[in-house]
Amino acid sequence: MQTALLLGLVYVFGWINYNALCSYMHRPIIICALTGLVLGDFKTGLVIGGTMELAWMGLLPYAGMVTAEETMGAIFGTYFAITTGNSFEVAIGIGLPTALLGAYLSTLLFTVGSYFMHRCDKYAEEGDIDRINRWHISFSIIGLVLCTSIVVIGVYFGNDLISSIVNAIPENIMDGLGKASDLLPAVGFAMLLNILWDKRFVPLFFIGFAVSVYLELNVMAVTILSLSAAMLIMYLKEDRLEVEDDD
Amino acid sequence: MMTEMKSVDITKKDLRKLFWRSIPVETAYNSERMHNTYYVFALTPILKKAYANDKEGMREALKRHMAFYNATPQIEPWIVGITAALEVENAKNNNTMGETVNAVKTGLMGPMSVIGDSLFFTGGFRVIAASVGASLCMAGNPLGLLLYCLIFNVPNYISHYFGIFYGYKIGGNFIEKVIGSGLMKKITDVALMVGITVLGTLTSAYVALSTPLSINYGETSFAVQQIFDEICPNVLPLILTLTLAWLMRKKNVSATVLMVTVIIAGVLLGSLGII
Repeated sequence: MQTALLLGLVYVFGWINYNALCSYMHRPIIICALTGLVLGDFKTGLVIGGTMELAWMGLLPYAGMVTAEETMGAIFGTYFAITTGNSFEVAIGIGLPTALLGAYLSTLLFTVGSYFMHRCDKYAEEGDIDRINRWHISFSIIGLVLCTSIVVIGVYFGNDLISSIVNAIPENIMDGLGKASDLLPAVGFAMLLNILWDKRFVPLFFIGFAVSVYLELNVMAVTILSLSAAMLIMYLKEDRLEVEDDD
Repeated sequence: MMTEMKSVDITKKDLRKLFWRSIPVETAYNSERMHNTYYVFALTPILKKAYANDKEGMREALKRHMAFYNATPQIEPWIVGITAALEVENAKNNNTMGETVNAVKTGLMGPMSVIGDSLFFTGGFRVIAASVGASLCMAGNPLGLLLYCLIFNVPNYISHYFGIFYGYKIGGNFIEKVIGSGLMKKITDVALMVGITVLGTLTSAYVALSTPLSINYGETSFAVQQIFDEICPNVLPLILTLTLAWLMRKKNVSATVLMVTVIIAGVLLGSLGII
């Protein structure tokens, strides 16, 4: 029970950071490490978090659509990975379906919320700003309490069930899950590429790819180089425009 | 006919209240109108002062802000700051500027979100923070957590702070000034360039796809992967990522469908020993 409550607190931390602070510290990188800390295996949580963060890079609530509840997925994935045998395959295998399921629950909550939000239209008609504020705060707290209780109940009751499922999975399917999780980042990167798509800049994608393959530069190096180059290009363009203006 | 201007005294303290209340953007999110009650919540100190003895003005203002709203949370305070200034102007001008408030607020939603998303969401600080932080965490270095937090949140809160104070100061002139000078376009372009380049690197560094298959010519066997490596190392991850992007772009396949397909394909091919 203690573990379930502590993991509930980890969820509250994630919820506050996403909804109230907009700090993006509800993502697997932070949440998996905290879950590991609660379970007494910080290091494993840290490694799972890093791997999951990259695999879920593109798993974002885009244009108001909740596609995945990353915080729930990260907590459940890490919890079952650490308690059943420390493998990243289990973390992804449990984390992803949980995240998708969590997204359905959130969407349900937001839709039911829309119905009750219509009360605020009446308050607005009456010019009653305090009641809109009270509604706003109450609905936020209701959402937090509901989602947190899902985490607490899931951890408390789900342990035996999930461990027996995980233990029943054959070895080669588990290997396959490992391979599948190696491929998952491709979906995330493809999604980001699709959103950032700008014909003028597509060649840069191949430059980024080539410097990694042939020069073995890491992400930090490429970030520094591309940021400097991009700024240089901007300034050079500006100079040229000024010269043209002078004519 | 000239009517007397009402005086509304917004102090530094009111703006500080507006700043604190503008932070929790995603609370009480709802599917129908998204950030609407947040907007009322954030503007409360300003509206209460601007429409202190004006029930009708308050009613109109509340109805305005109960409408649909959604923007990138890290950039939305700019719009809150600008709207706050406009509401004060509206109150001073005897509630004649309601349409302007709506027009500016709605007009800012699209362009500001494009900039916000490329800086804080789909690209820019979040992607850099995540890839730098995650690569350290995977090596077991907790410094990755700190770097992730700082790379994202220092720009995030700078944007929040200046959004309210600078946005309020400049009010309605803001959009012409910044977009007119081309500054935002430049920031967006730089963010896009870095984002796309880093994606290329991420594809090579973090998508792992190779095959253990080999072809037998009588006595000798030849590894298939070697052929791919001679064309270009990591060419399979590159092809996979580009194919997925193409499916999303041209065939409108959703990310969730692709993800489930990739998992099933990965498990099948992996357990059969093809990849």
